[in-house]
Amino acid sequence: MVTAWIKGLLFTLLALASAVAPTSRHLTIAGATSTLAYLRDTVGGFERSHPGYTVSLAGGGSVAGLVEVSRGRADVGVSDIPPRAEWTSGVHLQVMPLGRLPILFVAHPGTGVHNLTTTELRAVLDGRTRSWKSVGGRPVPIVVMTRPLASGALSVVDREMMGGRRITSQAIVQLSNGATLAGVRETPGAVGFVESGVVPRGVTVLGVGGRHFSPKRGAEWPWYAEPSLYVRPEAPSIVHDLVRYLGSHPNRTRYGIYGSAS
Amino acid sequence: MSTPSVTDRMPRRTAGLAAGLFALVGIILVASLAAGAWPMLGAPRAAANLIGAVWDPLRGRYGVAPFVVGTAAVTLTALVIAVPIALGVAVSIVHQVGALGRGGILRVLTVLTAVPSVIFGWWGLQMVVPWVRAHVGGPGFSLLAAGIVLALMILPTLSLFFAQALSKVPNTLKEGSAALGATPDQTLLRVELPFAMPALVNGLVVGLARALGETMAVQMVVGGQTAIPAGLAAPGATLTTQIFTDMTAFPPGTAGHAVLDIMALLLLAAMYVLVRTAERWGSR
Repeated sequence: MVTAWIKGLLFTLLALASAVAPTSRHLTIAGATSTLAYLRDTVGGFERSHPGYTVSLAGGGSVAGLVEVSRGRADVGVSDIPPRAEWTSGVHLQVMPLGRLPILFVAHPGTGVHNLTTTELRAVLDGRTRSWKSVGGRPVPIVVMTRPLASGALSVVDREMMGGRRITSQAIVQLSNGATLAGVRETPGAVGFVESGVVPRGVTVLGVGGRHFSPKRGAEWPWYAEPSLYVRPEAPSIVHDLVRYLGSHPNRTRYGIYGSAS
Repeated sequence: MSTPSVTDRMPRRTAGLAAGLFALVGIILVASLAAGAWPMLGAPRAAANLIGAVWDPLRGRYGVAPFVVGTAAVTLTALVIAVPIALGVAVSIVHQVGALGRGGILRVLTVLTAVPSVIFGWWGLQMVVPWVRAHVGGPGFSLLAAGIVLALMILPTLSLFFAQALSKVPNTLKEGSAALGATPDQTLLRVELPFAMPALVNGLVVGLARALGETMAVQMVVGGQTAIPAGLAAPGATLTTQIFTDMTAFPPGTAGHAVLDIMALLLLAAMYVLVRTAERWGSR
């Protein structure tokens, strides 16, 4: 009886092991959440043109995408941030740029402000300016919303907008684009930044330094992330096919991804 | 007496194996956290860096004080709100509700303990954050909002434990108190609560542990601010929410990851102290 019990247990374990063993017919993409909508709606076409293959998507942020693909836990990593050796464990990843994804600065509609100079916006984000009244708006306290350290959008804003200063440590941290938008929409005095190729509803998209965002001229907007797809050099050809498919699909502009990355 | 057969020994051995496996998993967990934390603990001026108030990992500033303060504030707020209500619910269940109602309330409370935390967080985002914004001020995302959400989360667990503790008080004690002329309230305060205190404290520790360890619901409403919070109505972060927020930014082997491991060890140490305190209190 005991022998039968042990045999049964071994059989079950073997069956489970074979069920969870990775197969080459399932591909995984992980990383930046900013392009998830585009990727989710586009991988279906790849699956139809490659019968038998399935593609799954996971978020986690840019850094997670680079870490996962470097360690072989994902086939494709998506990142708005260039890889660093500490994230990739020294693996030299191959890159396919997706294009430019505008980063919009958005504010609660009740602030009364529609335009800021770059200097004013920087002072708002780093916490030196505390009230919208100081920049021509209503006397409402400013509530800054930012993204986690792993966010590619934060990396771009830090590098391209803040001029060496840091976003205030008093900022509220929102985990995703969607949460940031909802937070800014619902919190009086809130200001934040989102990756979006369209004008989001319910918030004021701030003009910055005399420039105003328009989806028709999205490629001209000066603040943008450059989401890219990363693969390991030794990845099988089907992974490279997937990356080429995603990196060249004409649907990209419908999701606010403009032109090709520089 | 004959020697037990292999089949007879199987249950005891299986139980022993399970216990051993459980202990091994615990040891591996603590060891891996300690190994991950070691590069930071061994760094020059590590203590001064870690107890600081500035969290700016990209510039090498790893002060965890804002998160310790946030954890303490959120947990205490939750307990201050939840404990009196849970005690009231427990007293009602034991003394004021009939057997039929008691069974219904206990079933509802049991179901509520199984509600996923993300649902409490979602509800907090829709209801508590706007309420705090409107009635207390500030952006609404706050330690107070997190404390209220946590209080509601631990309320069913605390109520069940407290009700169980009070129901274990022997009738002879209650009858004796009544025979001496004590009112029901006097019996409750001077006989039942002191008798049930060890069990009440154990329930409190379970609720406290859940409050300390909760991540998702708190994350959704606390605001994630990395500075020392200016008050209960200000945004903040707890040890668990900060680990969750930054874990993807710091892969294993980086200094940031080591600090997150230290934060996890701090939580484990806090839990250990809690359990030991409860054991000592309970044995009095």
